[in-house]
Amino acid sequence: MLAPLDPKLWSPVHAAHLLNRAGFGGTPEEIEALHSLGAERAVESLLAGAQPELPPEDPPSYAQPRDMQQERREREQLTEEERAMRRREAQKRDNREYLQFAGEWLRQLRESQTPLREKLALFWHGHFATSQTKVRPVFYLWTQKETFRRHAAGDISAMVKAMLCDPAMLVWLDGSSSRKNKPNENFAREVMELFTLGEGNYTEQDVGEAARAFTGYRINPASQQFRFVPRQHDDGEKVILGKRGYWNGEEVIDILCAQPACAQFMAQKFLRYFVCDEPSPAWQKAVANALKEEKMIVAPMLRRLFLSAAFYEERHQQIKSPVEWLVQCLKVLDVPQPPFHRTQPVLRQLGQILYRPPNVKGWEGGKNWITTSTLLARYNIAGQLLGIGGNLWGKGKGKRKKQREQKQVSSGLLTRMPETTRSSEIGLVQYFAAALFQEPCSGEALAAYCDFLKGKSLQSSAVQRQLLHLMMSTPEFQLI
Amino acid sequence: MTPHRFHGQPTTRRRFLRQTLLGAAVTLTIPVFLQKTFAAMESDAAASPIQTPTGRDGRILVVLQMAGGNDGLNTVIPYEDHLYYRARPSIGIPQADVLSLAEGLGLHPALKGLRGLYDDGALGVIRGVGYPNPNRSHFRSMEIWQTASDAAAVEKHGWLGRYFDHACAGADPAVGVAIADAAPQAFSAEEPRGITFNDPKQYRWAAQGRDDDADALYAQFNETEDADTFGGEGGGSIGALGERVISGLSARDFLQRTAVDASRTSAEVLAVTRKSEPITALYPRSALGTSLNTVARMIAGGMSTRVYYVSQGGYDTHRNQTGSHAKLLRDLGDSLQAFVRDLKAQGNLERVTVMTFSEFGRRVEENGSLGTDHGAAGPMFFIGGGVKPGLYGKQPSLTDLYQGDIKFNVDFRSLYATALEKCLGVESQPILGHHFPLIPVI
Repeated sequence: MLAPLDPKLWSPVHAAHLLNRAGFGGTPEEIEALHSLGAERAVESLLAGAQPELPPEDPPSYAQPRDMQQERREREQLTEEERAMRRREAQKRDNREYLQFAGEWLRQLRESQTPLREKLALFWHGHFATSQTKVRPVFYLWTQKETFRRHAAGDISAMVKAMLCDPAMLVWLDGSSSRKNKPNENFAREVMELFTLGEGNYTEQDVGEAARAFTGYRINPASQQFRFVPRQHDDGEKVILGKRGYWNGEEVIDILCAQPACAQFMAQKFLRYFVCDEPSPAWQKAVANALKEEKMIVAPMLRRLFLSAAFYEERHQQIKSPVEWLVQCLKVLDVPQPPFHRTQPVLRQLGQILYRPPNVKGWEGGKNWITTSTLLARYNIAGQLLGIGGNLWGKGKGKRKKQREQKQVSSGLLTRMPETTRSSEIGLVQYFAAALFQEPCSGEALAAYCDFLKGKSLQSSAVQRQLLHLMMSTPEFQLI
Repeated sequence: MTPHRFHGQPTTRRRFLRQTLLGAAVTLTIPVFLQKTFAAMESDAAASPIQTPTGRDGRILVVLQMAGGNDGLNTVIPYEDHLYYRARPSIGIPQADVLSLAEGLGLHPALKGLRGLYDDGALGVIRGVGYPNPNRSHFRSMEIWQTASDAAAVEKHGWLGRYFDHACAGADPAVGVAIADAAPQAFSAEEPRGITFNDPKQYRWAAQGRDDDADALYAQFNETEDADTFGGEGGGSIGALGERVISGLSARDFLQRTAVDASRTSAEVLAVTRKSEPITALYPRSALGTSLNTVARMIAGGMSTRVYYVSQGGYDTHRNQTGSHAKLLRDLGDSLQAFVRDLKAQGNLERVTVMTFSEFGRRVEENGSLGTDHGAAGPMFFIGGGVKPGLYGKQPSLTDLYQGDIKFNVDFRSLYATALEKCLGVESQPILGHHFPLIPVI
């Protein structure tokens, strides 16, 4: 399955597919730039942006750590009523900061010059699916997201170990409250079932034993950073998957990641994310082997995947995730970033809110993205991005009338349009098709779009927007 | 396909749909698929002598999922069993607070709503529901419940999906409605059916423009005056889509199919929910309350739906569960009580049965974080006008445990069989694969 692509076959269509899957798509110009590099250098350029470990960054203003110990001490001095008020204020602040965090991440996905790094960060978020509904401090969420970006294409076991010590994960799966004499099984179970091995590849006893090894991994309330508390750690002997020893949490993760089941499980997850919804056994075997051969390091496995001929046969077969869909819409239409209090409800309607996965298993993906209502939402939001049936930059409720009168937001795709494309129906359709589908329209679809334009002014922005909306309101546009 | 083919025929729903904007958008890319689809619809509708009973006249099942693994022992509480208090010294519900039912069992104090339903004779409690060789994974156990499979077997389709396949050929796609962000696995079927949405107000095509073809088509799409537009008598007028066309759907075909279903149902849903405004004063302002309110509006509006699916999440109470569990149960009881009152006022209560379930109960002994870890069997509730009130099954023993979990004594598929036969009026064996004894709760 990983037989390399014949370099002579490398075409703009291949470059477009690579950019769709290893990033969030691009404009015809960006695709041409990638194409001109040739297959190997194109893949290398994407990997180069994802590989180096990023230096730690200072948290932005909306994700500052707080001294929870101090806050608790202060709370104890307050009356019941004052405490309730504090709690409400804190909730409001957390929600406000979370909205900004989610909005800024969306912007980062769109604007990044290292799209594969961001695409992998989103992969890891789906894999270690953590939700803001339980993990409130935005500092935790931001820290976790930065860990995903930092180790994006690195060693899988290093990533799992980073999650063992990740404050958001310690809250999400109750590690921080697990006690030596009565360990909590939540993290131990999910690390095997969902993060490394898959159901059926471990026993209930393994879960119980691992839960002991994961005790003592906690959060320092004063700094909101990870800290190891030896007196809460069970340092006794454990048997994990038949291996006996005085294992600590990191060592248990090494045992898990060395299992053949881990390579298979992760291969399937990567395939479902980057290649196809239902990968064949041959695909799974090939990628699992590649992972093993590459010592469970992501980047070299991805290099082989992205340079394989079979990868390019999956073109236009995968349903875009809502985040992919929205980021790609924003990029292709080249409209300003809508404010985050508008993108959040949009993502809710589409069925994927950043840091609000449905559960710890993450989003099922594939066909599960599409229901009658999420498909209608895609069609409707595509319209709103073009000022049809709403406007994502307006103030919202109560000001509808004003909104309608507002000037439509400008789309770079429309303003950049060469004069010649507007001179014929086919020219206009194909200009949009190149941007939306990365290839020309043909046959009955082309005829239908041209038919729609008959007798209309091709110069009219309203007509152009309607055509774009129709072309985006198709099953075809949901696929990459 | 050629739209002209249908000229001269009376306006049928099918024809109408071919001409909608959404339909037009769909046909633009792969008309061959739709051509086949509509051809199959025509022939199936013509060939089918049976009109499937619909929710307009027949009975309705509402499935309520308590996601995360509800702590059954703190829901239906064995308050006379000292072993309960010994296993749960910190999180046990004090005897004085329990809302007593019978036989030394009572409801969690937050379940006043359910207790009220019990007094009104509208609540049946089935104790110790589970399955052999229980699995403690949320996802595997939920899959077992959703597909009604044995613990060792993997079943592709959902139990309600199999009901749609077996008993609802020729039915409208809205025969199953899930109020959710994603379609429940229970709906997955050989022939996908059932629609999913969260907010009925957003379940529509919202394009608007002026003075052009698209606008005209949009107006037609929103045309709700013409009764003929929404199918003939009984709601069973739409033919099924042929299996040949849709089995093993590719992503592309799946999208096509969903687009057709959306266009076929959205105007109806919108019209129905416009007929009666949500009764916000009655329901808790929670996701569950809102979902049940929506379901009640759809029942009041005469949707042809036979199965509704709603969900309440948050039951994975590993830590500090006392407050959070009480909050969940209060929401559950109050929402259900409001739903029953609403249906009673509509005169529809006799036709509707609610069945609750959760993927597992929790460990008998509390953990060190003032919570409970994943367990096995738990109670189920049946609520509605046709329910025979009381306690069913046997209360599981707190001494005879398996790996710290109570043992089941009623297979959950017995309750599915009961719902299928007594509520939906179909034979359960072809759907569930085996014969499961019915529980006389309906």
